[in-house]
Amino acid sequence: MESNRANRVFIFVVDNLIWVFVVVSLIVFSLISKSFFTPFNLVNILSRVAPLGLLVIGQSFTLITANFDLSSESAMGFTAMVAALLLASQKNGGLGLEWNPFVGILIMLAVGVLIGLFNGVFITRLGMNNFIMTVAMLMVLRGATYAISPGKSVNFLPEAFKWLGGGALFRVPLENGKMLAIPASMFFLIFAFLVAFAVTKYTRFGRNMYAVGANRQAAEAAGIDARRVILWVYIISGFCAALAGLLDAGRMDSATPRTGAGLIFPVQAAAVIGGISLFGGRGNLIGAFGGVLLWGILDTGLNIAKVSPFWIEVSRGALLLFAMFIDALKVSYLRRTAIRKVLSASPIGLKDPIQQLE
Amino acid sequence: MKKTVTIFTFFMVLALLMASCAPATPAAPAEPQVVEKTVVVEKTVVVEKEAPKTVTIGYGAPELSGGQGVIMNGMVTGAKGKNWAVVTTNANFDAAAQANQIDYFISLGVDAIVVVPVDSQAICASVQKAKDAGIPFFTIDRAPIGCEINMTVQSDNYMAGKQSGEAMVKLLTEKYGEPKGTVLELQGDLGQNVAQLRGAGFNDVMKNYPNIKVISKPTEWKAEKFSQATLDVVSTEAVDGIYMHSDCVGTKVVLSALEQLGKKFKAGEEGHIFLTGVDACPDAVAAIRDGYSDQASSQPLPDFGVVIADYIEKTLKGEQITEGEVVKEGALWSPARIVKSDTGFMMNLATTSVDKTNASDPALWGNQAK
Repeated sequence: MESNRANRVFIFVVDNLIWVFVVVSLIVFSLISKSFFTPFNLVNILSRVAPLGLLVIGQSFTLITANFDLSSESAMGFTAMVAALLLASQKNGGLGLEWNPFVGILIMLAVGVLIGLFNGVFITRLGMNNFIMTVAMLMVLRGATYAISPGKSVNFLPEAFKWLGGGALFRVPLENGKMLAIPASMFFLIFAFLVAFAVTKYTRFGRNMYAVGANRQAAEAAGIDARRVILWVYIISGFCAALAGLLDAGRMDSATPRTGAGLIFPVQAAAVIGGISLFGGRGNLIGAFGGVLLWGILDTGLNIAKVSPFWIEVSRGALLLFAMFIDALKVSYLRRTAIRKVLSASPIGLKDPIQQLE
Repeated sequence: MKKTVTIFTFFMVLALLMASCAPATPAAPAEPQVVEKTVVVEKTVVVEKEAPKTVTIGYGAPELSGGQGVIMNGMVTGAKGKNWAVVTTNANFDAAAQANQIDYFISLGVDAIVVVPVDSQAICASVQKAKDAGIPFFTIDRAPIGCEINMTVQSDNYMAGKQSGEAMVKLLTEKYGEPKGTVLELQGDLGQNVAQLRGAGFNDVMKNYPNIKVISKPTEWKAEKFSQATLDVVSTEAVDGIYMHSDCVGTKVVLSALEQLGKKFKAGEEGHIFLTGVDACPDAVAAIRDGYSDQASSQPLPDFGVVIADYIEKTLKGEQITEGEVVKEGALWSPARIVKSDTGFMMNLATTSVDKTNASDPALWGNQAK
């Protein structure tokens, strides 16, 4: 019984290690620079990581089912470009259609869903390798974004379109007389993570996702349609990528051919740091949110502390490596305890293998 | 167990939310520490009153190769001259990264922001943020499009084109005894203001000489198009001279295209094709010294930062910037003109015509860049 409790404590600590890091990094950076722990900066961190956060939600869904979606950064850029082209005036790089912003948002979300559907169908129905399939889509969509763009950025989008990504929900007066705009994207990010957490934790679909990711054969034997579950997670990932595009285009007031380019590495890193296992079937969305926060805090904090960009890159890589290490440690630990449990319950008393395991 | 996890995490989110919404007081984890902290704050206020506050400038470079490195060094020099601190960042061609970097500047509470925009239009979202935070915003080398800032300092691209045009006329006159011949104009991206001005300056000179035939080819600043256009035109027409909208892009590839055609000769040799261009990159200045190229209109890249430092100082003191001509004895960029445009005050610095007589001048940025 005692070992069972130690086991639980270990898993609890490992699963929530991310929050220790978040708190420690907040304290460290506040001590380093007095400009770090200011309302403006904290609000900014949350609104800046919003597009990243949405991609992490999509990625977490696919990772939990032991799949990858590496195309999401390109899907984000492509959907943002599609919407911007429909909405911006000809002078600012658009097609000059200047459609209603809500129609533009609906179309971009639909395009995101279609991209996810396309990924999902090819992977589940044609049995294509999810890694290579989404890498192909990463290249196809990035190229297509360049192809449909006017060769430069598309700017000055309608207010209603920009609101979610760059608008203020309300303004708070600061003591120096200035007003602090509380961005809508900050609340949207938190809301999105809560919804995603609820879906993965409290719905049958969410439980099926974990089951498929942990052991696909066992899940299928238990009557779960794994292919259907995987198709849906790709659709969700595409949808999230479109939302990320909406947030980013709103914040920048423009879509560029490079929107989202290179984000896939931070996305994977934030998800893994947040405890989403690359082996599938483990991790929760609240942890992933922690991963996104930690990424944003490090990004801003190291910049404010005036650390050289090269060392920032090194520290990110080191963090990712550490997260992978913890993940691998956790998985092997769980495997060992599971085997031990089975062996000790064995009626013919297999003591020797247990000793070998020690 | 699961409940504790959920409760724990929810508290974390809540704490962060509250921290970010709270007014600008430092973190106060427990009562006794608050007392300590206020004492410290009072102390620093006293110190600030005695010593003058150092001015900090946030500088955002779009990338750091070639000319942009020279421009950034100029900004650092300009700030040093005023005893200011500079925080420099590099966006590496990424407009989103530049937007983030400007957020850092605002978080840091810099006194002024100077940026070379990666994207002239996308920068406007950041300009608005800086405006909301009450921080003056300047750009050098490139102007924003679609929003108003305090000031832009850039080089006079029309003048640069004009200087290259005049040099070309002089070279052709020396060759034939009168201004005539065929000139190939390798244009930049005509969607950009810079290329339009460099073309207009050149062609406004050329249209006074009806015997000079100008063949214009768009290249979109792409080296392979510079090369292709040179190969196509020089092999079919008797070209006397080539004018490049950017000798940074053009010098090497145009010279190697001429070599391919067997037409690369030094100045003074039979069959030499005149080369003029705008920018005066290290390549171009070296080619002028070696005799393969004839003229380049040099932008005062190292001076951008030094010149704008004066106007930042003015703005911080609350003085007005005024329109008109600015003359500074001995400066390569003098005379310059300040005009009020719809993107704020715009200062156009004079360019310097470089030929073999002054190609070794260390004041030229082409001789400073590594």
